[in-house]
Amino acid sequence: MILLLDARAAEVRLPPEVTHSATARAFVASIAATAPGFDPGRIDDVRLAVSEAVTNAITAHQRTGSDAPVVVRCAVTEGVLVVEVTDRGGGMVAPDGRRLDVSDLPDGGLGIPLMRSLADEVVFVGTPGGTLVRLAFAFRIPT
Amino acid sequence: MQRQKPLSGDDVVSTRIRFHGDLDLATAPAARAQVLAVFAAGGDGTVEVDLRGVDFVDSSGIGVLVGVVRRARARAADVRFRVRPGTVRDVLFLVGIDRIVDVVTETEADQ
Repeated sequence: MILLLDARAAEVRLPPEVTHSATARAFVASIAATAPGFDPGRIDDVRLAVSEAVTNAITAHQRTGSDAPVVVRCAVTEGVLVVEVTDRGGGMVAPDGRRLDVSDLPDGGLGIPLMRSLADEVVFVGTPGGTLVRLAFAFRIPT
Repeated sequence: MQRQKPLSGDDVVSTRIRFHGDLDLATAPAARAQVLAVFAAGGDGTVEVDLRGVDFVDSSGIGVLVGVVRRARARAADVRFRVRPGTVRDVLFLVGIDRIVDVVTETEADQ
């Protein structure tokens, strides 16, 4: 279910199942495609970056056994599309207390540099019980 | 530096792997199993991976493709990826796979 927060923001709450990285891609692509002024040539960048963030989120939930939803929130403000992916996957600490590193990620850690190369800004915020990833994509209006 | 090779023709393709749809978190395990089965069947010569039917690939899918390259290298085989112009090709170049294997871009007219 897509929850319309206001005229400029919407979110989906996805069960942490592997099929839902595709759901998240479709959601953000539809928001990007309908944001007036957003460069259609960047929609694939948004899809890939969000796919990486949601993949990490779903994997984190599966690692900790959390069945809480992964939340994907899109907001369009001031010529910027902002996507926030929030998980409850325990943050960068494994269930046994060990601090996680890239070798714990299924793709060997390729997703994070991909996000950094695709989005204009990538911010990771530790939250109680999980991580928030904020991806910002500036509008690039063709001249 | 990219190796200079004919794009098709005079090498012997012994192994073909064809993927369809999305290569992502959901499909990577089955794709990896398919790769294992193909290599278990043996063969030598060039390994060709047909990605023309793939609509999307992310790092989960790239992991599968890197697995193909590793297994081909283990038998000293060349690898060739066949792609259409567009997002999948763009991602392969973004992650630099084109520096370790031949990536052949084919338009609709080539097919």
